[in-house]
Formats: sequence, structure tokens, C-alpha cells
Amino acid sequence: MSGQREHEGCGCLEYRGLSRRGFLGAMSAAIAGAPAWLPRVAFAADDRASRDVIVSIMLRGGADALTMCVPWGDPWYLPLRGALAVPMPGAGLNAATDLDGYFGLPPAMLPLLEAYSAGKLAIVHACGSPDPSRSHFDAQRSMEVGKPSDMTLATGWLARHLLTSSPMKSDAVLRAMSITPGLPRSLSGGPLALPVADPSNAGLTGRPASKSSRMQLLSELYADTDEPLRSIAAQTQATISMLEAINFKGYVPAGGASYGVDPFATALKSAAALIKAQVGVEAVTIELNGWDTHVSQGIFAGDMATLMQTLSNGLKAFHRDVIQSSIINVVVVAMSEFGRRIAPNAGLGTDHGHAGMMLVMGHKVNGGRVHTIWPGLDHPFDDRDLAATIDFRDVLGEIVRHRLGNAALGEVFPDYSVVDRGVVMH
Amino acid sequence: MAALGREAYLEWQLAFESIDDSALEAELAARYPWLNMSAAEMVAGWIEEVDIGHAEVTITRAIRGRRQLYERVVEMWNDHFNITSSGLTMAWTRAVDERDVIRANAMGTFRALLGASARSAAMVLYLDNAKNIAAAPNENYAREVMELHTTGVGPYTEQDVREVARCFTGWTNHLANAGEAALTFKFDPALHDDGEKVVLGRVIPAGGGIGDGEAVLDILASHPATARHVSGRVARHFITPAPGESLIDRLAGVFTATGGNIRAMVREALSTRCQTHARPKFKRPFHFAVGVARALEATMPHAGQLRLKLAQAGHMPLKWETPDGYPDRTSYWAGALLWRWRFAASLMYNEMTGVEVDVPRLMFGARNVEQIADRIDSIVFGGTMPMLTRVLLEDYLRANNPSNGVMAEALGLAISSAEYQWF
Repeated sequence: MSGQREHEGCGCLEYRGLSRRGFLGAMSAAIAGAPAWLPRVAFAADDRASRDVIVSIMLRGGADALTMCVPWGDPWYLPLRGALAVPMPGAGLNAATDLDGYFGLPPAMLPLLEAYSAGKLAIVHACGSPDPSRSHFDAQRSMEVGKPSDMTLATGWLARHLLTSSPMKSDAVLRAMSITPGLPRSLSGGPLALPVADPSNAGLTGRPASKSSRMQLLSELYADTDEPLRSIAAQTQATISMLEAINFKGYVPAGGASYGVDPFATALKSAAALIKAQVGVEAVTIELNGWDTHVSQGIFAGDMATLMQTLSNGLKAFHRDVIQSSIINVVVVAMSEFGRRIAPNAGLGTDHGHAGMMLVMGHKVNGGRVHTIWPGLDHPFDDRDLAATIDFRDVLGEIVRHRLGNAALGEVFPDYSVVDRGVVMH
Repeated sequence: MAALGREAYLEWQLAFESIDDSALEAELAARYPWLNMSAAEMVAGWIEEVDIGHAEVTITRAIRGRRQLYERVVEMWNDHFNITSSGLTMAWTRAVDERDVIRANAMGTFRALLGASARSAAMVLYLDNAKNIAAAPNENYAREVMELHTTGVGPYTEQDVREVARCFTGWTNHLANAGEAALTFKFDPALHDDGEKVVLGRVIPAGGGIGDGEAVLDILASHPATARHVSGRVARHFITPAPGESLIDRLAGVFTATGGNIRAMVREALSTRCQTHARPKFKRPFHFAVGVARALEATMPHAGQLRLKLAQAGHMPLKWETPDGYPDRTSYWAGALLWRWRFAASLMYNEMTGVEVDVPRLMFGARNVEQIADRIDSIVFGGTMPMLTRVLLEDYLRANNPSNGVMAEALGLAISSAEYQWF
């Protein structure tokens, strides 16, 4: 069992050949620190201090952007959406609430209005990937890896951002935490990045008197093992101590925020406590899954309405608690692998589509607007789907460059030129 | 295995039908009577505990079943044809799916398994084929049957997805109030699109009825991409997380030569020539928890506690939300060492209600630190404990005057160690 371990994407032949792609894909290289070929990016101290902490939210399943942000001003919306259309603003029960004379929010998304009106929440619409895949798994992979249609790159975009930037806190024991049972691809290969399903319950149990000697022995039991496990063990040790010092259970949100008891709200609340503790965690990832609404979509009452309420209530609380009430700059971005088809199917659901939307919330976001180059529902992609006019990497890239202070966009989003869309402040 | 030798052990496990597991199955059937019920009987009895019970049955079979290889194959197909169990209707049909689709065909031919899955009431519900009708096709099953179950992404176009959806229109279920037929598959000709279709370049003539779907399954099951896609699944499950081309070629060759005989593929995957170059595979939480329970001969009235622990690890049986099944990637699971260390500690400190490890019995006769370490080596590592691990555990035992409590701590540390996390 002491032989060389297999790490996905490492592809040991590539690794030996020291190819650039092999290195990018090599988890072990990533864990060991920035590979030598990466440019050395110099950060001014004040730059580091002004960088935002990022909370990245993945909405898995393909969220129906045409319901979450309704293009009621598009003359084709009502006829094409048919039975699944949200009524025009003012049109009685379940009507959309107007945002800007063209787009509106359905009732279940209304909790977002507070942050939107405060100018802290931006919506980016008709946004997506150039990869036409309607496979959940390929599309999620494209988005989380940050390079569409590349099945060999194994590191995530957020991981590469961390690899090409200096830590915000030089003695951070953990730079990124995913509040999920497993590590998402966006953080795969990232330095000091761990999944912790429940940060408020992180200690070793058992005989208190032996706890420190057991911890010591555990660290020795992993001292001689191969990567990535050796680093993970060391990070886990440090993370246990770090998390045990934070009073998650006694955490009191600021600004009158009230988090729900659902897992998504709980994760956001843990993220808020973690960020305010200023322990050096500069990236947090969270998931809210179940958006694959092929049947009985339930946009006013039902599965999708519940998901939208969970999402918008969670973000509302986080806005009050952190964006409004904390001086620590934070940027939140939420995305889904694709949107859904313009026309509903016979089961009052929608099949896999193409472009979707992204939500960006934060202290320094050009919020209170819907950023879009609206393609028009009468100009669909592949005859039936919303066309993508803004690449998701433009939004993420702008965040990385301007809010996370990392100019190495060529490494974070290889072979792509990020176009500035003005979603965040510079 | 030591008694039989490797080859004989493999053949014994492959011929799972001749391994008597009736005592365990009788015990399970007494505790979980729905195990042998039809969906109609579950509807009539309105049995609400199927969902959590099903996860417990899976854990219990993995720990105590004698058909160890068979259970591993079943686990593979449960991932491959993943169906999330949530809600009563899904739980009932999912229980039938595992018994009559997955377990019944696990070692048979791939085409039979695929065909049974396509007619599984649970699959019809899960991938929305019940809503796939001529007037408005629903593409969910059509896409996943190609992408996940057979060819993988590549050979087909979006037009193929639409055509396959048309072929499967009318493949639906009897409703829950349909008496004995409740929640079983039916083909409804009135909902079927009977026009001509073209799938992967092959013409399926008009008027084929239910034969359209069967023709699609024939095309898919015999497609070369399916041999490779399924081989990748077998290789990742049984050999290595990142199988190379030559390994896939070898298994795909067996698939093609045997008409998709699963038993033959598993035999090849576990052959010395395939395993020799295999790198260690990181245990998923399920394998970790089940392996610990087996190694330490943990006793428990039922698997409820382990089910809760696995839920915390994001690996409760039958609960992966999306149709791709639980990941096999090391990078996905390796980060959560914390859960493993906490699991070991709570097991060894008797913090899992009802789950007991009899440390004095496991250690009976071990009179000194070296003998205790020998015993841990044999119990946890099957005699392959690395020297460094042994030295560290011996130091710990020496420093702490080995009482039962300290021996339990040492066992907990052994299963928390780096070496134990790999197959």
C-alpha cells in the first residue's frame, strides 16, 4: 500500500513530461504549492487588505433563469412561456415585481429586493457558457473547472485563483472551505482548501485527557504518507483547532438578520461567522441543489418556489448580516450550470436549456441593476433556448481581477479573454 | 480468502448464487418486511419506513452478507443506474428497483439489466419518462440513458436525444390506485409517437410501438462506445480511479466478446493481470464505515446509527441526488478526513448508541504491547500494517499503560491512520 498513489487528472505520463496541462491538472502539484511555471504575482500590502472574501454558491440542476428573473418586457415571454409564465407586473395574483421596466422578480424571489434596492445585488442575465452541452455533469464541470469543453483540466477556477494569489492572511491555516461533505471541482487542487460539512461540529470527541496526544499521533500517522493525504491531514489538524476557537453555536447575526434552519441558511450563517472571525478563510463554497425541474416545476407553490425562497431568504439574511453590517468586504456569486428551455413541456416543467443567470452580491457590486445584453426570446440558441450573450467567465473573471485583486486571469481562465461587463466596482 | 487462494476465492464469490445467505436475508425480511413486497402491497400497507430502512438494509448486507463481491457489484450498478429515493412513491418503487432490476441482473448481461432498468417504475418516475408523451416529449430519460447508462457523451447529437425521447413516449407506469398493478411499468400506445425515428443513424420504422424503445436499447447496448463506457465504470469501481486506455480496451474486449456478460467483466477486472498494476483506491465513506464495522466485528441492533453517520459524510446509500451516482474521485472524498477521525473516535468511545465493539474480546490473550500491536495489525490491516504505523501505535500504548480504554484508542487511531484509508 505504500506505492505511488493515483490522483485523477495527474496522468503520470503527462506529469513526467512536465507539460503545462499536466501540471494544471496535477492535484499533487497544486497541494505542494504553486508550480514553478506560474507567474509570480506581486501584491502590495494594501491591495491584500482591500481584497474581498468570496462566497461562491453553486445551484446544481440547471436553474430556470426565466422564472428567477422574469423578462416580462420581452413580447415573446408570455406567448412562449405559456402555462409557466409569471404574470406581468400589476397583473394580479403571483404577478412579477418590476425591477427596471423590463425584468422582474417572481414572488418567491422577492426577499432579494432589499439587497437589490440597496444597490448591493446585481443580476446578470442571458449569461452562460459557450459549451452547448445540456449534460448537467459536463456543464457543471465546465463551469467549475472554468474552461468549457476541456475534459483534461482537473483544477477548479477558484483553486487556480488561490494558487496565483498570495494568502490574504499570511498565517492562514485554511484559505478555502467548502461547507459540503465533499470538495467541489471549483476548489479541486486548491491550496489549503478543505470540505467541512458542519463547521460548528469539528472537534475530536472522546477522553479529554488523551485528546492532545491522539491529535499528535494522528499527525505522525500521516507524516509519511503520499500527497494529497499528507497535506490534507495537516490542514485538518489546524482546521480543527481553528474551528473550535470560533463560537458557531453562539453566533448572533448582525443587522437584524434572521437565518432559517434549512441547510443552505445554516451554511450561510456558518460562512458569516467564519468570515467575521477573520481567520484567513478567503473563499467559501456552498451548494443549493435540486433545480432540475423537468416536471411540475411549481413556480408559485411547489419545488421551485421552495428553492427560490430558500435561496432568496438565505441571501437576504446574509446581506443584512454581512454586506450591510460588516466592514469586511465580501462578494457573493451564485450560478447554475445552465438555464432551461424557453417553452415548457407537457408536464408543466422545463427541459435542459442553455443560458441562465448569475447573482452577484457584495459591498462593491454595481447592484440594483440587471446586467444583460438581452438576445430576445425570438432569437433563441438552437431554436429553443435562451442564448448566452455574456460568458460566465466574464463575471467570474471580473470578480477575480477587481474584487479578489488577482490579475493572473490567463491562469484562472486559460485560453480566454475576460470581457469587462461592469458588474463589480473596480 | 487465505484458505481458498485467490483464484478459488474469486470463483466462489462470482458464483454468488451458491453462497447461502438465507439466514441474514430471513433476519432482514423479519425486520424489513417490505423487502419482499410488491409496490402494490407497500401502497396498501402505506409503509413509511422503506426509505431509511432501505439504506439500513444496504449497510447491513455490506457488513454481514457472505456474498461480498455480489454486494460490491450491486453497489456499482446502484451508482450507474442511480435513483434518488425521496418521497413514499419513490421509496416504494426504488425498493422494487433494487430487488427486481439491480440485484436480479447484477451479474447477468448488460442488455438485460438495461432493459429491466428502462421498465423500472422507479426509473420511469425518477427521470420523468411518465411525462414523456407524443404530444410533448420529455427528454430527461432519453438523455441520461445515453449519457450515463450506455454510450457516454460523444456519439449522439441533440437531435438523437429528441428522437430517443420520441421512441420512449408512452413508457409509463400504472398509477398507485391500479390495484395489483400499482406502480408497475406499462406501455400506453395512446401516448406513443408511432412515426418513423432515426437514432444514431439507424432508421426505426413507423408503427413499432413498444418495440421502438427496445430497438433503441439494442442499438445502445451494442454500440462500441457503450462497451467502453461501462468498462470505465467497472474499472473505476474495482481497479483504479483513473483507468488507462489499455485497461478500458481489455475490459471492453470482454464486454464485446461475451455479449455484455457482467460476470465475465468482473472476473477480468479482478484478475491478477488487471489488479497487478492497480494503484490503491481511496475508500469512500461507505467503504470506510462498513470496513471498520467488519474488521472490529461491531455489533448493533440495526444499521440506523451508521446510516446517520453516512448521511453526515454525504454518502448515505441511495441518497445521491443526481442520476450520475456517487463520485469515485479521490479529490472529492479525500478532503473530509475530519469525518473519518470523528467516526473512529465516536465508535471507540461508545458514542454511537447501540453500536458496540468488544475490545477485550478482540484483544483477548494479548499480554504486552507487541502482542497488542500484532492483534491490531491482524484485525485492521490483515497483517500488512506499515512499520511506522506499528512503531507509533506501540509508543502510544507504552506511554499510556494499555488498559481496555487505551487499546480502544489505539484501534481508533489505527482506523484513522493514512494506510487504512486506501484499498
